[in-house]
Amino acid sequence: MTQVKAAAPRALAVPDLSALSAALLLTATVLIAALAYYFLGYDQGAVSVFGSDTHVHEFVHDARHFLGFPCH
Amino acid sequence: MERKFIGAGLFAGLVAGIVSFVFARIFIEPQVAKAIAFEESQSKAEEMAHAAEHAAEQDHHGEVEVFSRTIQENFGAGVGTVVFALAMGAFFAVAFTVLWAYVGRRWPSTDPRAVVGALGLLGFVAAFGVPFFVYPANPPAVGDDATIGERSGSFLIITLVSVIAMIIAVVVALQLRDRIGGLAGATIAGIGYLVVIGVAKELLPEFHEVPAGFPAAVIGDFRVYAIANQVVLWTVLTLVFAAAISAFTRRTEQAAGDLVTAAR
Repeated sequence: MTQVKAAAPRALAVPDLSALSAALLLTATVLIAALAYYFLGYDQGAVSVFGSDTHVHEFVHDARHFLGFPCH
Repeated sequence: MERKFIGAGLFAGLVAGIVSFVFARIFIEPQVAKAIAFEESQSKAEEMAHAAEHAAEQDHHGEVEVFSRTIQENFGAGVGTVVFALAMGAFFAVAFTVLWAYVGRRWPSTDPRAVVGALGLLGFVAAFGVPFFVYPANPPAVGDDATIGERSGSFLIITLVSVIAMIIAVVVALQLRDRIGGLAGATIAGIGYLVVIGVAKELLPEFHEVPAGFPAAVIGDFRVYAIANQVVLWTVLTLVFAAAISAFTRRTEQAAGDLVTAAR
């Protein structure tokens, strides 16, 4: 009996990768867009990821004002 | 399909960003220039007093202007506006994918372009309109350097609260649609959204930092054009995305037609 049991095919549900990859794609898109939004609107204003450098801030300074972000 | 939706969102964002930058360059930049001229005239006296000290400091740090005004108002502003629009296009595409996955399955007769239009309107209100209403945009020289951290934090909080509350409101409205009808459900969800925003606005700090003597017309014009700029951006984004969705829809119908023909 134990032999029959061992011989029986193992039934493991096959994950639906198409749904998973869709979820991953959507999540990655949101994360990258959020990162771009953060660097454009917030970095080097109140906080700065790369220390006290102001290149990003100065470069997009006018865009920040155009788009309504708080600035000096 | 979600790959195509995201591609359409990025393309729509690119087009919207370019159009919006041209608009901003023509209408907002002159207001920014006036504000900077005011800032310079105000600080001239102060600078003269500290001229020697200031020059020494510049030498010490080797810090002059990082980017010239020409680069900032053209290249920097263009890149910044397009990056913003691309990010909004990406968010738009993800929101549409999730929304359409639900609405299209539940109410298959819905025109996807109507969903795109509704999303554009709600996105504009949630991501720009309400944060602007709580913290209106200001030209340069308006705003205390010392509160920049607090102002950025508050602006980010109201933006996140607004977007999350809007997502919840849409979910609630869709859940209520079959039970009490679309209009009643949307009304309840809308009131809920406004209550959340009202409470958040009351809890968040206020800032009144317009310097004495700053020309009121510059602030007024700047704010009107800042709103118009976002109206342009979101309108172009929504229309281009809707056009792309239409193209996909037609292609799908065509493919279905081909299949039927092939089967015969």
